[in-house]
Amino acid sequence: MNVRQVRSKRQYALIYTLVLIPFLYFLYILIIPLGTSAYYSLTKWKGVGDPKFIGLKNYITLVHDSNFWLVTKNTVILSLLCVLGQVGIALIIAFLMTIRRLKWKSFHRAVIFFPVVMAPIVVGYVWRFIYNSNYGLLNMFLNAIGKSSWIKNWLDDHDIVLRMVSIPVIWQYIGLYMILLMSGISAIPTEVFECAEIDGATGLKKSLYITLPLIWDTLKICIILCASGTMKIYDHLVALTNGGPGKASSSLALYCYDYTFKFGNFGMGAAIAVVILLLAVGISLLVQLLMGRKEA
Amino acid sequence: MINRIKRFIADFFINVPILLLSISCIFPVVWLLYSSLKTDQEFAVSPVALPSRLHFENYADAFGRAKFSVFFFNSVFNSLVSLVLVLIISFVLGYILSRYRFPGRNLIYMILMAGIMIPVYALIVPIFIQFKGIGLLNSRFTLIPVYVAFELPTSVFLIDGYLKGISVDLEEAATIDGAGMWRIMFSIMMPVCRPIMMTVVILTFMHVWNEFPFAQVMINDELLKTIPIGLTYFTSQYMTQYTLLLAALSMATIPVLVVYLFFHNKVMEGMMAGAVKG
Repeated sequence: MNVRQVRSKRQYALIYTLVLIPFLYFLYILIIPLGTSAYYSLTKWKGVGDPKFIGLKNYITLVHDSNFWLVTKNTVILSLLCVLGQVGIALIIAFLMTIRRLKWKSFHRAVIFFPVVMAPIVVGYVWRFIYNSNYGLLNMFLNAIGKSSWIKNWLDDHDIVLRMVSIPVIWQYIGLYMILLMSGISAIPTEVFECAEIDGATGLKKSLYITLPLIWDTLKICIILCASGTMKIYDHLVALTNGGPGKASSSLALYCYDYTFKFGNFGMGAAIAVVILLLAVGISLLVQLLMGRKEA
Repeated sequence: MINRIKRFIADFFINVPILLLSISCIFPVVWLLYSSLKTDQEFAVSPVALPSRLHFENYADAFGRAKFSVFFFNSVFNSLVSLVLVLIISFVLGYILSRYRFPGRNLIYMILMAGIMIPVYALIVPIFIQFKGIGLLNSRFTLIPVYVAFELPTSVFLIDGYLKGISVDLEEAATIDGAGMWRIMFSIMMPVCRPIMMTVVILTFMHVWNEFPFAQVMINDELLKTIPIGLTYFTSQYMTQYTLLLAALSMATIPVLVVYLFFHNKVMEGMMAGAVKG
């Protein structure tokens, strides 16, 4: 362990000052709001005056609110689509990246990761250009390949809008999970692969029976990150549809914003924030439970 | 012969899908950049054709109109100040937590790392209320403390991890030579930590530059808004002037793109650390 001794009382004092000032500040910004959030969710408060304690009333209102269930459903569906799309595609690519005959690996790695660093809001707007019904690239492309019958108002159709908005989100974050899974794979000792090859495991078999179990923990982390991360999806939706048409592509975070800052109902906003937190934690636990602990 | 054909087909099926995905990842960005240099007429005729002549007017126009220069300045200001603060605070915190063991150290470290797992966006409402209470909404320094606090866990985690791999010999020698803690931290260890500090810088820059929800909620003043907020403003006002909007989107992307082109390995490294630490 590379640890040093504290030499004097003065040094102790200095250490505590230097650690406690930023730490208290951190507590104030990040940890305390966690508690106050729970408190405000139990009050009726319009943002001015004193919050009035009303118990679980906000939550009861939510349970009877059909819009709340709709946006919750939307959020959960988006989460599922993102896990399947992001982690699923990333896993396939990570496997393909292990193949020796794949060319330009570092180019692919760098390029596929790039969207991750773009602003989600910019991604949303760029995809709005792609989806646009008049001059959009997607419709132009469909025209060019002679499938003009497939042309649609991609973001105005109740039935498909949710799937449509999930595509940019999936597209943006494939790279992140690809890199995570690739680093998981690169941590496997090469002898394991060599032994497997000697025993005759190749290609798909090697990926499924050797690599997959050995990166199981990484995969689990990816799924947890992705599912709980999508719970708070907001920026993309603001740029793409602003939750519309109606509430067809709205998410919990968007609903929380509306309640708090459009309707000025801070108590309800806090209650929805708590729901987002609980869902994120709940999903993490569920994934832990479902995927078990397979020790590598 | 059959084998060679088989091999060719296999190569094809391995290389082509990934190539297509790569192209799909790079194309929207390239399209954004060159389309922002077209005129509206050109864009209306064909959204994908290359510009006949490079029209930088869109940039000048976007910069001048809709206060984009103000948004740009605010984003740069927020990013730079946050960077300096994150760099100093996380280094001091990371260094001490990594090198010294004192009562309470483990608890502080644990809470700090737990901060990584909090989905910060669920905190918008309470943080808004808290800041409203102390009257810190709508000022030039509203967002910076929030951003700095968000970056601390990852940064401390990275610096702590880096220092674990560096022997204390240098510091012990410096102490014997009479150097105090400040000297050791800033003149000796900070240069040693340069590679990881670079990662922290890039990561912080990316996050702050791109951050949207907090900037949207906590700032009302037109003159203090940042680029991501400016974009929403821009789209509602100039939605029909496509190339102008594309120029604005490009301006939001180019700084990140440049940083990425130079440091993509560090960016990936940092993002990975940020993702896995939980």
